Amino acid sequence: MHKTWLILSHEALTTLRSRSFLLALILVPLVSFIILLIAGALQRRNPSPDPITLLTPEKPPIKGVVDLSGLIREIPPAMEGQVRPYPSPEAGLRALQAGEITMLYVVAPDYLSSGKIELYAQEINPFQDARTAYPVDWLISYNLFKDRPALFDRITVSMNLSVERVASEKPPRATNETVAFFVPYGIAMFFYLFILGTSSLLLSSVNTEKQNRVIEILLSSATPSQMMAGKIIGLGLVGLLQMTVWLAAGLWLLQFSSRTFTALQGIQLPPNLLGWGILYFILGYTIFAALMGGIGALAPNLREASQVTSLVILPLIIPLMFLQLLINRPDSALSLVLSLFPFTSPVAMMTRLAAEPVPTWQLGLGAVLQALTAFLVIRVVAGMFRAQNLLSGQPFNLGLFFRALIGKV
Amino acid sequence: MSTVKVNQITKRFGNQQVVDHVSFEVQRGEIFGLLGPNGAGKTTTIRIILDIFKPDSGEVEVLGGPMNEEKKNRIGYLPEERGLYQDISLEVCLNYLARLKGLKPTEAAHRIEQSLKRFDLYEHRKKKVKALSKGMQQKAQLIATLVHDPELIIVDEPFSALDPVNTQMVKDLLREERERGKTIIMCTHQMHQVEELCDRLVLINHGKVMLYGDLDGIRRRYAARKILVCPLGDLPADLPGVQRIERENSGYLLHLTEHTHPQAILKHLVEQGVALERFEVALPTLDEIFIQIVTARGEPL
Repeated sequence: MHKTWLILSHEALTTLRSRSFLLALILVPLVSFIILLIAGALQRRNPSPDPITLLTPEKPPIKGVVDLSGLIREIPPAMEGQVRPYPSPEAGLRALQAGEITMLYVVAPDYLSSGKIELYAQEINPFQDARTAYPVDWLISYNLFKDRPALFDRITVSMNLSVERVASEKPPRATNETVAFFVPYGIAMFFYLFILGTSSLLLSSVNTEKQNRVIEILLSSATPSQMMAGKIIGLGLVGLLQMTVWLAAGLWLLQFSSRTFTALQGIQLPPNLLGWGILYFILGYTIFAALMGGIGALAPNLREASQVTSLVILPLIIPLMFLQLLINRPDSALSLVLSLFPFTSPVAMMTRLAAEPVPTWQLGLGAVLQALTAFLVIRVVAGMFRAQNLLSGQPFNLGLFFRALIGKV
Repeated sequence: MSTVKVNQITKRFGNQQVVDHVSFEVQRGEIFGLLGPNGAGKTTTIRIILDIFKPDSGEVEVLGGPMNEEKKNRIGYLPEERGLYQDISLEVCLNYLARLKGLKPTEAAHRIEQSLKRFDLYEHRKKKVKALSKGMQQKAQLIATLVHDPELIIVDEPFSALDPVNTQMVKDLLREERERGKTIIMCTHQMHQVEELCDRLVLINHGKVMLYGDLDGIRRRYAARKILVCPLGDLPADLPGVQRIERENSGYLLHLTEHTHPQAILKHLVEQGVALERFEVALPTLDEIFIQIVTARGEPL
């Protein structure tokens, strides 16, 4: 126990004293603070409730329209800066080629029966441009219903859906949809980066000792299991410290910035996120750190370890591929599976929790499944963390890793 | 009482029998040579003694019984593949390794300070290890091996990559530790170093013990029937019992016939009135003995 403690404190203090760690610990919150300060100042000059507007051009690009249906008889003055009419498709295409407009909409003569509008552009974003004909569709509605403003508003303004949960513990979501997406997105990235970054420290630590050839001296003083335990706990504590500092700084920044930066007003983090977050970080870190330690024990260098490392971290990436689903449909079956499967659980569950309150039994079950997996992974990896592997220079590949996982090495 | 008792240990890696029923004992206060060519199984044997590897069969007793955590703190080990943490300061690195050997923080700090001063490294204690010269790192490695004042010192190829000055320093250090009653196991393939330093030895080849005993006894056991003679004048033309005479430096190497005793030659020379500067039985070197044994057994070198 004494030697485990020594190894633990050595790993923790060595990492804490390293310049790169200290810089990351301080600079990330500091840079975020400066960015928010600048963004807040910019926003005060150009108030806008939506942070997206800070990332998009101030003036919207002008679009051309050729109305062969004759429905667009009037363009309101407020829209004149956004849309420009052309008498024929040829004239519109010439303007498009000359760069006077970014895209050209041609409304078919039989629009009312066919709904057909043709879009011409030099560059088309298939995810955005092909799904909307704004402002042409708006202009058509305006011209059709301008004499009946109430009906026009009903058609052009989205419905005012009121949702009331019955016997629910869930607080209302942020009214700003952009914020409602970016908060869970940020949490997902936060957990992904932290678990990956901290568990990678273990791989790096074992590999450094192999490269420096100090491992044999350590093995003559301590057992491989003492070394593994000391490293996992020591580096985990460092990661936890970094996470706590960044999380606390993040929460303070949210408080501070919401006073100066109205775009972030309305952001609400679930109060239980910190407690569950720390538990899920510890469990997720233990699973992936043990796997990284196993890779470090078997691989002679980081280059040979990279192939297997990328496979091991794949479960951490999978939730990022399903972020839309986890954020917009956190109660779906796939979201539930991803948040309970122990290897995807740390990122997926925390993303769900940031998007919408998660039932306590699901949080508890996810934690228990991860704890069991961590126990099993540590037992398997302890078999790899043997002197024979640590002192061997054998070539490392995926086959060797899987043979080691089933105890055949 | 033996400091180390190795009894019939074996170790196999895959299809290769690396250690094959090796037995020997190391007595307290001696420098013991664990000798053999590269790949003979010396380092594996050392690692089994240190409990880094478990033997497939056989037993090892260290400091009066099986290895345990407390005994690891009473052993100093200088591995063949030298290594120190490169990105931390020399002082921090040595302190960590000393603490792992059971020293209390203040005691570790005190002993490291003394050792650094002794090895002329005190001025460099705050430098990162990677900033030190290779010679300095070798000295630092010796400090890490000896700082906790171990009872048993195991050094694997202690002279590899050392310049003559540092080689002599290590030799002096090993002799000094022996004088202080420490037991030393020196693992090497450089047989002349064993001849110079060791009291007893075991010679291993292909994992098997080929020679075991005290150095003088082994050399006498394998002494060929040769005498080295340095007369002040010329040797008599006719020497009974001598097959062949070779000129060697300032003397002669006499090859005796099978039943001739060196004392008979000495008596004959004295009777002939030959003044002698030197008369000695020519003992074989360990290299010669090794080649002699391997050749006799028909094993590959």
